[in-house]
Amino acid sequence: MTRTRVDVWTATDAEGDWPEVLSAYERAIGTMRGLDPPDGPPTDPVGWQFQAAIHGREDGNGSADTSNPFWCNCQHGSWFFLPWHRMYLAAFERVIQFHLEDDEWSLPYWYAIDPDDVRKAVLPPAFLDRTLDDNNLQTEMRSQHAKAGRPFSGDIDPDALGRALEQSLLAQRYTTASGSSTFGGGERADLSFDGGERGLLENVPHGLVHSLVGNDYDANGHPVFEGWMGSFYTAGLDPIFWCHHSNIDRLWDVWLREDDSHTNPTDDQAFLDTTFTFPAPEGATVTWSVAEVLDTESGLGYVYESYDPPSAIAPPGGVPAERERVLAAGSGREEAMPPQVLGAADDVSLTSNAAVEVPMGRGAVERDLTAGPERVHLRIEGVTGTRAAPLYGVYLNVPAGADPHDFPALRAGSFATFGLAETSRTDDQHDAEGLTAVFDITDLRDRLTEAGRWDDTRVEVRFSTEVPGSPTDDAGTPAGPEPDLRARRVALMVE
Amino acid sequence: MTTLAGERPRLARRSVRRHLAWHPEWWLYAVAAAAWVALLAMSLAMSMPMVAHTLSWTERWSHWLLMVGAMMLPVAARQVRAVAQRSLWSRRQRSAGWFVVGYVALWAAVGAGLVTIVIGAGLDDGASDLLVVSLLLAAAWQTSAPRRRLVRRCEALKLGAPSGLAGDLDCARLGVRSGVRCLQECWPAMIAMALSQSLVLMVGLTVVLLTERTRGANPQRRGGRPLEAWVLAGFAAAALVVALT
Repeated sequence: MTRTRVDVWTATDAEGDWPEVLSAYERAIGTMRGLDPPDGPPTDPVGWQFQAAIHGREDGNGSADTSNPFWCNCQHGSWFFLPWHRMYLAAFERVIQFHLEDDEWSLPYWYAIDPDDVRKAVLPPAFLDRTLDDNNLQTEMRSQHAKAGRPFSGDIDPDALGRALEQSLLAQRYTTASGSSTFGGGERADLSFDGGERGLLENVPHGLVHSLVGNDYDANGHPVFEGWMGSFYTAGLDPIFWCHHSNIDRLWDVWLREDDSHTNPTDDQAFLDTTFTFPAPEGATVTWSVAEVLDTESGLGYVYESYDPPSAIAPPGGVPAERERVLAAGSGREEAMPPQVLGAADDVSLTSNAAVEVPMGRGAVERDLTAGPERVHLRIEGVTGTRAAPLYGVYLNVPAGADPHDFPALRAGSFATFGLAETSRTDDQHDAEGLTAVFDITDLRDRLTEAGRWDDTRVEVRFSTEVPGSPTDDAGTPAGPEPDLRARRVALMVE
Repeated sequence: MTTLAGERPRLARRSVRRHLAWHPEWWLYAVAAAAWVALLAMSLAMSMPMVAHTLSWTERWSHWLLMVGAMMLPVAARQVRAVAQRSLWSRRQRSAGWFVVGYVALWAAVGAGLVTIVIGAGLDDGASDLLVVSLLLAAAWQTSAPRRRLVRRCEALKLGAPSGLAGDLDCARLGVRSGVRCLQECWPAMIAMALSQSLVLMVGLTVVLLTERTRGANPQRRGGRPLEAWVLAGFAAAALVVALT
C-alpha cells in the first residue's frame, strides 16, 4: 500500500497543534533519545544521535568523524545530493516505524519557503510547544526567529526567496559535467561530502533554511549563535531537519512534474548503479541503488500530498514565456557546442559592496551575446571562508553607488552559505573546495539588453549581504568581525 | 531529408569540431599513443643482441619521460579536460597546456632523481629483488587508509587567475599539485617502473591506474579496492618467477 507524506502545516490546520503524525513522531524520537548514551559517541544504530551522525558528526577537532563507516556519509555539492538524502529519509522513516510499530507512519514535510503562503515560514506549533514536558520536537538549538515562532527568514525579503525557489524549479537540467546551471548538482566522478557544484535546489531553499533555522547573525552577517540546523555535523539532531528534507525530496518530484523536459539522468549508468547503505532496525542494513529510488511510489512506497508548483511558474491555461524559451533552448542540446567561459574575475570578495567587473571575450560561435537562443550562466566558484552571512544576493549591472536591494529585477540569484565552514577545511573528507553555485541569467541578460544596459564586453557583479535581523533589543549590533568569504572565481558562461 | 553530397564533408568537419570541443583533452591521448609507439620501438630495439647495452643516464631519463607520457597523461586527462572547460574559451588549450607542463615537470624532476639513484646505486642491471619488493609495497599501499583518503580528495580543482601570466602560472601550479597527488598515490609503482623497462609491466600498471579512475558507479568502492592490489601482487609474483628462472 502506498503511504502519503503530508504537509505538516496542512495537518496542523486540520487537526490542531498536535496532529497525530507529529504526536507519533515526538514519541518515536523520545524512544530513540533513550537509546543514546549519556556521553560519548552513539552506539545504537536506531538511536537518535546515531541517525543524525549518518549525516554528519564532528570529531572534536572541527573535522568529520569517520570512526564509524556509517557516519558522515551525507552527499552535498553533486548529483548525489538528492538521491542520497532520499535514501537517508527512507531509512530513517523505517526506524521511526520500527519504534512506533506502525509501518504506515510517514514523514511529513515542511514547505518552509512557499511563495503562495508565507505563513508556512513559521515552524509548526508542535515544534515550538514548551507546555509539553520534554517535548522532543522542541529544542533551544535554533535561531531566535525560529524559536520565537516568527518567519525563519526574519527581515530577508520573502519575495526574493520565493523567486529563488522558482528559479530552482525552472532549472533546465538535472545535472551537467560542464559547469552550467543545474537543478540537482554537478556530475561528479567521486563522492562528495561537500564541495563540487551545488544544484539550485541545494542552494535555496535547502541551504538557506538550514542556516536560518539554525543560526543567529549580527548585522555584518557574523554568526553569533550556531544551532543544530546550521552545520552538517549537527543538522540531523533537530527534528525539523527531517521534515525540511522531506520537502526538498518532494520538490525534486515537483520539478520533474513541472515540465516534460525535466528528467533525471536515467541514461547514465554511473549515476543509476551507485548504491548507498544505511543501518536498519534489528541490526540489519538496507541498500538502495539510485535507480531504485527515482520513483518514490514503486521504489519506496510513498507519495506526497501535493506536487503543485508555485503559482508564479504554473499559471492556469498558459505556458510561461520563461519555460517556453527554456524548452526551445533545450532542444538539440547534444548537437551543440560545449559551454564556453567568456569572462572571469578571480579572488572576489562577497562581502565588499564594490562592483566586481568581469571582462568578457568571445566564444567559438561568432555571434554577439544578445542573439538567442543560447543560455547564459553566472558561476560563483570555490567560495571559502570562516564567517559568512546566511545569504548573499547576486546582482548584475546595478548603477554605481546604488543599493542593489532597490533593483530586485537585477537579481541574478541567491547564494546560500550553508556548509561554508565544512567545505573550507582540508581533512579526510574535504580539500577546501568551497561552495559553488551557478545561476542561469539568460532572462536577466535579455531584460538588460532590452533596457540597453547589457555590454558584451563586460558585466558588473554586486553582492549584497542579507541577514534576518535580530528579534531582540540588540538588533543590528555587529558583534563579530567582518565575514571573510571569497570566491576563487566569478565566471560568465554561454552555451 | 536528403543531404547534398557536397555538404557531407562540411557536416563531418562540423561534427569533428564539435567532438573536439567537447573533448579538449584529445591531444593528450595522441601524445600518449605516440609515447607507447616509441616505447614499443625502444623495447624491440633493446631486445636485439647487436644494440643491447646498458642505458646511459640520458637514455634512462628519456625512457622515463616516455613512460610518463604513455602512462600518466591518460590518468591526468580528466583533470586536463576540466581545466580546459573551466578556462576562458579563448585560452582553454593554453590553460590545459600549462597544466600539463606543470604535471610533466613534476614527473620529470622525480624521474631525474630516481634515475640518478638507480644508476648511482648500481641498480641499473636488473635489481629484480628490489623490483619485487617495490611491487609488493605498491600492492600494500593500494588499499591503505592514507591512500584511500588521497584518492577521495583527488577530484578537487582550484582554478586561479583566468588570464595573463598569472593564469599560466596558476595552471602550471595546478598541474604540479595534481602530479604531487598522483605521486603520493602511486609512488611504489613508480619506483618499480624506474627499476624496470618491461613493457608488459608498464601496460599492466597503466591498466591498474586507469581502472581506479574510470568513470562508473560506486566510486567509493573503486578507490583503493583490493582488486588492483591483487593484480600488483601478481606482478610481484611474476617478477619473482622471472628472477628465479
